[in-house]
Amino acid sequence: MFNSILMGFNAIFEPMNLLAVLGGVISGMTIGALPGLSATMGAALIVPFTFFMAPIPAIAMLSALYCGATYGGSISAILVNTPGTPAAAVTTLDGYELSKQGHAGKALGTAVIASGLGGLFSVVVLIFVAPQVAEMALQFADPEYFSLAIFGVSMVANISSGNELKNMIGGLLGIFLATVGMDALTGFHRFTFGFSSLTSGVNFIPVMIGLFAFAEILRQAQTHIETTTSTEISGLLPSFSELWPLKWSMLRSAVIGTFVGILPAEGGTVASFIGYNEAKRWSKDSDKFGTGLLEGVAAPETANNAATGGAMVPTLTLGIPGSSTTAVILGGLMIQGLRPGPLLFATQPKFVYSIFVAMGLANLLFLVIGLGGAKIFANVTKIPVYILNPIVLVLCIIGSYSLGNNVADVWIMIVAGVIGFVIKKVGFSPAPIVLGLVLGGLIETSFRRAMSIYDSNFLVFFTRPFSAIFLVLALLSISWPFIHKTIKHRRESKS
Amino acid sequence: MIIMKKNPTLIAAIAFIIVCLLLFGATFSIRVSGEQGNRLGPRFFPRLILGLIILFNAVLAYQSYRYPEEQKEVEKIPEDRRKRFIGTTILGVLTGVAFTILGGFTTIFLFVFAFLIVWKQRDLKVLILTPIFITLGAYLLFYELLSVRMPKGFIDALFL
Repeated sequence: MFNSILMGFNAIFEPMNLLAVLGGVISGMTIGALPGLSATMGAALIVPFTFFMAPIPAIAMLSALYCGATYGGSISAILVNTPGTPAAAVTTLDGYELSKQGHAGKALGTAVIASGLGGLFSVVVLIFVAPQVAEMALQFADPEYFSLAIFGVSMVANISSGNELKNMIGGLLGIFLATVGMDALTGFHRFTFGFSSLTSGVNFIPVMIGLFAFAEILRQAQTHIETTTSTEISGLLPSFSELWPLKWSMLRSAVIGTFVGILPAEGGTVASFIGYNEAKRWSKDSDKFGTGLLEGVAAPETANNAATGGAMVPTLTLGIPGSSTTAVILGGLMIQGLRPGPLLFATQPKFVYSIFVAMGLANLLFLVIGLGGAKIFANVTKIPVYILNPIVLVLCIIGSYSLGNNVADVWIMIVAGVIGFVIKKVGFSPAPIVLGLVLGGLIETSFRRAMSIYDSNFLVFFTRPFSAIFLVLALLSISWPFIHKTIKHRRESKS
Repeated sequence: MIIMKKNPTLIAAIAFIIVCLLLFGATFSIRVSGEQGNRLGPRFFPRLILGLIILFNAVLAYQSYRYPEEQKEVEKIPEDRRKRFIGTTILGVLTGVAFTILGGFTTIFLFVFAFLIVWKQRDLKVLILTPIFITLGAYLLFYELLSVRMPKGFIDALFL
């Protein structure tokens, strides 16, 4: 392992790769700081252009963007009370309060230090845990992959509470979309309706760009646009005596964030909420949370950045995205012709470890840039939407087109955007659709191959231990929101 | 219309069921070979998924019909924002059409200009300079640096 890490260091410290990481961090911080542009949307916009790059700088840039954007979300959360990314929503509670009290600098300084430490912690876990998971996954065959992918999709039920059924429908819709095009096993066309451009299937990159970016612009077209007025920043660094008492809170959040990140489909948003709640529960000043406590900034920021490394564990080792952003990174890997999974560790150790190193470096870089250039990034929040949105839309169009120099992909992006907007209006989330689309192919082919190998014996999914465990977990994951709701209703009616 | 506003989930669930039934019908046109046939051939999996989507949507429709008070109403959008939304959607569609006819960069220039108009930008400097800078930036980044070959159309072909 030590040799592989060294190999990763050598690869990443090549000038072009360093530049890719730096570019990823800066663009991530900028995207994250802009309210309305999430890390997923940023990655979806950038991923088509990684097609023109070598695998290491391409994925290093996307991973760095992921880390940078997750931190960047806290900048606007603290300065303008609008989270730049959903994962920074809870940071507004104490961050903005601190800003109002004239401590915006301290809040930003705490956020960047907590984010950096959380991210670094998760990268260390990633380096040690991912190879073990990959080794275990080497024993997996088609039944296990089918059950695992089902578990991955089942986790989407919990993406947003109250919409479990809608999330499951979204996940199934994504799986259905993955069946469009030529059948991988027989070569027969399905649902192409005479369009030759659909023969190779629905390309999920334009779908992602449409669902996350174009749909967001349409949503913004319907919302009131406020002129952003940013708070002045003074006194950036919190003192050592202010930071030291936060050490246990940050460590707890780092562990929570990494663990939540490892769970398929759970990401920084869930991690930050749990991190904040746990910090509040354990704190002696729990009643002061929400009034402007540094701990209220440190806990969620450590957790959401710790989720980045955690989310890369299932993505790289099993090919199951740990969050919606890693679903996009998975798309980036596929564009490069790399199939994420245990074999990636055996066949491409240099690539895998350089991504680990790139993520560690990205966390260090945004720590330095965040502390040095907080004032510059604070100005990013002032970019007017009428300038920003056409730029995003131009990126949507060129990004979709450049994948295969195909106008049909631009149409897919536009249609996905309009559908994404409409379904969001009625309470559906786009993330399950993307996850279903990414995993759909794996689910179908592994299911049909398993059926063909094991003489159509459905019991094979339950008699193989790992497969059975994943299916039980999937069942628990799907039924948990409903069980939880029933228990809650009963408790309420009793009281 | 009232149901659509008051209970959009019910309408969405019914729409999903109708579309999925149509798609289910379309599975009959998928070719199958020999003994695999209808069992685990190329028709089986889409049918399974469509069946599950129909089932879940039926549950969703029932829930939203049974408990309408739990549904979020569609908020009323002021006229100016509705126009901005419709304008942005139409611009997106027109961009798809104009992309191959006029050329990629010409379309981008016109699109940004029209976008600013739709988003009520009336400052002449912004109206002129923003499309120029965005198109120029797109040209330098994508055409020169990344070698993305956009459709030339009949206008781009005059310059590129």
